[in-house]
Amino acid sequence: MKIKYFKHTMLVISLTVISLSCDDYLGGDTNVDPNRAQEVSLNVLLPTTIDATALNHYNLGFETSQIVQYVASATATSSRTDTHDQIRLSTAWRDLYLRALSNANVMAVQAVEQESPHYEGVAKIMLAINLSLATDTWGDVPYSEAFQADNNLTPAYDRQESIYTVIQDLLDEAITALNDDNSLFSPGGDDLVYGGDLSQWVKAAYSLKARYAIHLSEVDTEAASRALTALANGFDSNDDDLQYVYDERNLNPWHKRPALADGTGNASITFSEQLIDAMNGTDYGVFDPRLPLIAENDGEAEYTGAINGEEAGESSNSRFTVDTWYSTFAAPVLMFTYAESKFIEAEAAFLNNGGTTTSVGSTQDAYDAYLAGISAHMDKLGVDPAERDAYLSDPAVAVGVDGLTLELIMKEKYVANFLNPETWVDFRRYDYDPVIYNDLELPLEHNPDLNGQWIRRVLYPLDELSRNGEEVNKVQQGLEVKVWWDR
Amino acid sequence: MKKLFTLLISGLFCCLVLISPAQQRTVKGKVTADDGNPLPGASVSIKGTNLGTITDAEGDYSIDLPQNAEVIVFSFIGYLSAEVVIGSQEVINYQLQLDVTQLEEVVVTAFGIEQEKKALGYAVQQLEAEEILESNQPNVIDALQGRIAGVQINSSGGAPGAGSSIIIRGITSLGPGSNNQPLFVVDGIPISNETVAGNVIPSAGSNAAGGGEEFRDLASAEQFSNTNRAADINPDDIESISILKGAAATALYGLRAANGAVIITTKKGEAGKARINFSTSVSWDNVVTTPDIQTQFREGRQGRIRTVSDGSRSSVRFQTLGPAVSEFDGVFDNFDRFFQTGQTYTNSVSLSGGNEKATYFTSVSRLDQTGVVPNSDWDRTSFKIAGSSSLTEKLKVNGAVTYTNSGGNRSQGGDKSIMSTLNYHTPTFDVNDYINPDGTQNSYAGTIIDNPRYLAEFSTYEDDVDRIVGFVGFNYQPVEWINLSYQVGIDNYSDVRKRIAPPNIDITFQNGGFVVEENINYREINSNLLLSFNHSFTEDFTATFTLGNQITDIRSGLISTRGEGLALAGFFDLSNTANLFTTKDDREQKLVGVFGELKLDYHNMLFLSVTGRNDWTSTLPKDNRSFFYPSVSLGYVFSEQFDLPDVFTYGKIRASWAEVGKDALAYQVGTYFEGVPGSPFLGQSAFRLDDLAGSLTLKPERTTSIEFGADLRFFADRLGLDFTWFRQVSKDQIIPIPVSNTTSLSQFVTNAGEIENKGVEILLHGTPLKKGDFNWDVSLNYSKIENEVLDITPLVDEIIFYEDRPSEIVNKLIVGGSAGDLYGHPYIRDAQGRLIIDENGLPQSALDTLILVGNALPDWTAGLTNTLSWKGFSLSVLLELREGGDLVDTGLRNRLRNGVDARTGIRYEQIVFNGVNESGEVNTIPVLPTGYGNNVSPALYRNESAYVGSSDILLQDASWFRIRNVSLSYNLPSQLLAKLPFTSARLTLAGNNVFLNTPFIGFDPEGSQFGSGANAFGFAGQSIPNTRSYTVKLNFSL
Repeated sequence: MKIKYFKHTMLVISLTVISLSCDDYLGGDTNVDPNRAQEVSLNVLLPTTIDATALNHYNLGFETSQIVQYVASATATSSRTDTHDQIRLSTAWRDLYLRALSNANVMAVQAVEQESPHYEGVAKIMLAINLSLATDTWGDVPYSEAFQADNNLTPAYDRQESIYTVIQDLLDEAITALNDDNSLFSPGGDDLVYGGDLSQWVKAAYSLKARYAIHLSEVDTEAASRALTALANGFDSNDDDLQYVYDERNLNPWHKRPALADGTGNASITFSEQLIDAMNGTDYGVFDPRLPLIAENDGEAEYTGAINGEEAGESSNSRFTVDTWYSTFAAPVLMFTYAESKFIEAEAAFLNNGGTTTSVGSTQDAYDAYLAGISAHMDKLGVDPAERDAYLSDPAVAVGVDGLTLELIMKEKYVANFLNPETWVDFRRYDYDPVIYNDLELPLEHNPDLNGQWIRRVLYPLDELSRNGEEVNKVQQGLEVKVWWDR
Repeated sequence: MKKLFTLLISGLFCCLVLISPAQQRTVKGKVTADDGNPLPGASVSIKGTNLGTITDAEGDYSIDLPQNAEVIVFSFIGYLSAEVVIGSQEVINYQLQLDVTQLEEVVVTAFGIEQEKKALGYAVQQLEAEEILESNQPNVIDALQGRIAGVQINSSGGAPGAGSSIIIRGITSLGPGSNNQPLFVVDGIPISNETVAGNVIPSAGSNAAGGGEEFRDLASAEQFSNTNRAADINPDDIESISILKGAAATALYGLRAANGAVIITTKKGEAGKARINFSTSVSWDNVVTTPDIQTQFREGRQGRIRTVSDGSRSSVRFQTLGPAVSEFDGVFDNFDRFFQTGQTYTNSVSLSGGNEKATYFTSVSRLDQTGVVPNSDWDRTSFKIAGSSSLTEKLKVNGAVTYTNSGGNRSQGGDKSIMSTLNYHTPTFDVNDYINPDGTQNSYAGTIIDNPRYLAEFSTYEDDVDRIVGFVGFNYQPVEWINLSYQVGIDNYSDVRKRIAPPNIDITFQNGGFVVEENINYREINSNLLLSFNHSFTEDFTATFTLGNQITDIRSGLISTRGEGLALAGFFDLSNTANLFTTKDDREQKLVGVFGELKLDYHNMLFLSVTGRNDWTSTLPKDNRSFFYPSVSLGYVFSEQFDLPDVFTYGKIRASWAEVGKDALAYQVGTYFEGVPGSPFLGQSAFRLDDLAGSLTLKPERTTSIEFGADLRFFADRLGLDFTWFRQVSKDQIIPIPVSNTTSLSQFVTNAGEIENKGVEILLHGTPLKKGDFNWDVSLNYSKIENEVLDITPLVDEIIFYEDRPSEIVNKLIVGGSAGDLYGHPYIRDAQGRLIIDENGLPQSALDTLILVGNALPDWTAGLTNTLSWKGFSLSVLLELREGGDLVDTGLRNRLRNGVDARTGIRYEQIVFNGVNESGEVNTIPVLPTGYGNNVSPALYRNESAYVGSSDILLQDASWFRIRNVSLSYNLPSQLLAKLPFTSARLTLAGNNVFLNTPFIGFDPEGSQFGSGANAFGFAGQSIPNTRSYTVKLNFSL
């Protein structure tokens, strides 16, 4: 009896095994990851792209701020950005391409497929901003063959000149798309910059067109005019600022690193003498009321900055804290501000009026824009109006139309664009001119391979060299070699 | 599932209560060995029937005779069988004679099939219970250390419960995350030996594993030496461990055993009266060795103590580059002070017995271990019940179920851990003065360098594993030549973990303290069906054909929730945190295999085995899901054929060729979107394109192996040599190839690359002296494995396993290189190898280029066991040698940079580096190592180029010679036992790691910084150091 039962059992098991269709058993959703999505909607890609774009401004801002001497390295390691060592910035490269550009690209493609030009417009603005960050840092970068996954694992590098064409085209296409009346999906709360206000995106696109136009001031004689034309439709006030605000859950990266990590012995950066002297009265005879808001000196009489290249930034008594404006936990990362747009306007008007680095005096438009830029940034930081007005009327600042110089415009832009990678573009356009950037000097311990030349670009990451070496080798240049728009 | 267990257990008990019906006539007697001692476990059977029994511990047997019984057969492995005519005898005693020519050594092979070793065409090495217990290792993998040729055991440190990895015949996968570990099988059922690293890294504040996102898993793995799940096995339950090394040996197991297999057979009950075994032991553990420190200088910098009035920029005080120690200062060897003596208590009881129809085995064991790090512990409790029964002459049923609970409080290693801070800690403050009266941390350097003792006490990680492993099996033999067996087994565990990090320590400075709660679940079901046919064509020609089916169904899940920002002090619960982050990792994997084996035995001299297996796996694309691979192996016992000189007892040569496939991990194929870490942002969910995608045409990996071997024995088995040469090539590797980030991907999983391992394994056994009661056995194993990367892919030049930033020793593979290659920045030297010294008098490292500077894997390893026995005494000594293999002590950099290491005691003496300047002239420029007031900036000990970034300083030869194990045991003589209630009693005194000799400066170089599942080799120093232990153990049997 038992045996009979057992035989039956075995027979059933055997038959089951034999008749079991492997495809049924192994197929279906068996190999589909339940923790990852195969398709996503546009509204979950937009926060990703915005967050990543802000991160890229931090990544590159952290490094380029050492080159433009906002800050100095406070570490003692041998490979440093502020001494112009062989920097490659692989983290910034990775975050640009993998976090921002690839997702902006997916969003742009998907927005077209889903007949949602409003998302397409925002995605293209994001593409333009991040492409600019990439090309202004490394020079030639992949775009036309990029983002194809295994269909092209070794994308070619596009010339910077053509990248700039792409950037302007993307912004034009964005403006057209954003103005489209019909969009199946439109950004709303997922738009962490403007909360779905498309008109602000349009203004941002125009202002960005001006920014990227003025980048070409050394190669395009029409650069200043183009910038002014675009600005006519650009930002109107600080409310239009392209910025990303953090909260107690996702901490501002400047808060995380210079403000918090320094307390754990992982000292990173401190304030540079170049910035401090431009603000504490040393260079211009006027104390900038913004200085106590952005730096903490523990109540000492003077603010001092470190000389770039010195060990551990020891001359500095000015530091980032959890309370200084740029490094509170919820501080915004400023990607592109109304203030900057006013300084672009001032510079463009100054240049259009035949101004040079040494000429004095310009137009009322240039002067008004210069003052408006200062005022806007002071309001942004919450400077006391009385202190603001005192500064704006100080003879060192209120030089009048006939006293305006490029040095003053660029100095104020330098202060207003604190920590923004954009400043390194300005420094290169003006060839690190110590007239424009008062008393600017090479750092101590300057990379001897550069023979006293300033750094003009960043080397491609080693990862990229090992993974796409053939293409990289076609375009790789030394640190001292100027990018296309830099003459 | 509950149902399954209920069924299983009730089934088991049914078997046990079956009582055989009484018979009429009985024969009994005693079977003894050639030396006159009783022979327990000898088989006694009635010729021409299936009736039989086994002798008990005293060699006694009793068997009921059927009517037609005529001849009784006595047999035992290694002895000549004997047939005795029963006639009218009622008592038959018999002394069996040793069979010196047959040497029928039986080993356990795939699917638990016991085979005569001589019939095998491939190498198998088996450890018996005695050897396993001799090692006194709580983790069964560690018990293999030094004993098996061709096997590399890597422990992840000396913390209680620390995992160990085992790699058989070298790294076969190029993928940094690939599994290179063998399949673990217990009583025929595969079990999990996974090491789950979990996800314990906070959102900010960790630089673990270089901080690179690509090493995120490693980052978590380096923090706690998590347990490999084979450590749940109670070593006392093990009867034998058989190591199947090559593809031919594992051919029947298919793809899951592509890296070899560890076949564990547990103890069974034996017919006879009930036996009770009791064992108890206590061990004391201490750290093997600690680094030497300088004791002349205080904390501070540039020769000064930097006390900071406002407490804000105290980052200068953490170094030990301050003024000379005065007579008023205390100086503490904090390595000695920090580590304590760990203790391990082990108790286990087993009860077994049975009759000819049914046997049972039960055991209960408990292990309690406290570690060398304060507040660390691990314990394991296990219950096991196993039984078998012959329901009829043709049908047998067996089963077992084991419950284990294990876990403990784990010590933190890696970045910002106990070990990194201990390496940094100044000798002028006592590490044990760690807590302020208000309960906060007392650290001499704020949160820059935590107090390691405070971390040990308050920054903790606990795990708690509940596991059930069980199976039921049937064996049906309708006629003598057909055997059908079926087995279904389950391995199911849950692992609940909790990580606590209080606020105001380094790692929580940026996140306000955090709690991580993790739930890990694993469930694996295996079904094995084997049908075998046996036929003897002639007396000398036998064929066995086996057909089989195996189904594996694995489901695992991990959910990890991290809460950051603790509001209420001292209350560590997710409800008390401001920000929650959750990650999940669910996996499902199914596998169906069908296989066959044809074995031919000609004249008990020539053995041929041909196998084939087809696997269908769920993890590959549909079109490539099914794949077949064959093997063939041949054994030729030439001593059977030729008339060899008398001294030549036995000779066999063997050869095999086999292919085996290997599938992908679950969900490697295709493109996905993943939640962005940190999402939601400002309340908005964020997803991103996953930068890891897999080819839609992924196909299985293929490993082809060839093996030749010889087994030669001389002087009546007094001397034996077993030699194996193997070569295995794995191609079409499934690896995530790093690709340009501009493609939208960082890694693309595809088939690429080819890697070769070849090597020799030599085993030498001998009995140099055997005289009277005295016996001296020697056993030597030696192995040497060479690994070469034959091909990667035209897309990339190299595959990086691990990059150690900032010192940058990189473990990477290039074509022509080998696994374990380490690249770094050596000192620049001239053609004659002299250091080139710069104008400041310092040597310089090539910081911009990575140069091959070493290899983490040993050139060869050897283990030598000497066993001396005299009467009741037995002394066993295991010596182990590892030649070659380089290692980075990642803590060394901390000790040097902070002026803690003994070498940094030179401060104000001028030193002149031995080298030449650019023009080749001998260097004469003196250097003051401290950076204060001279030409060296920064201080030499913090200078990357001249000192701490150089691989000449960081990378060391990690060769060693150690006495792995010494064990002295005494068995109470039978005269004495007769007066006691015991059948046997034994006292053992043992020591592990009692002696170490190595050129490596620092801790014991054995061990890995990363968890036991990781493939990064060559990095240590930030895991809890290895221990030396002494054990006293008592065994009794009733």
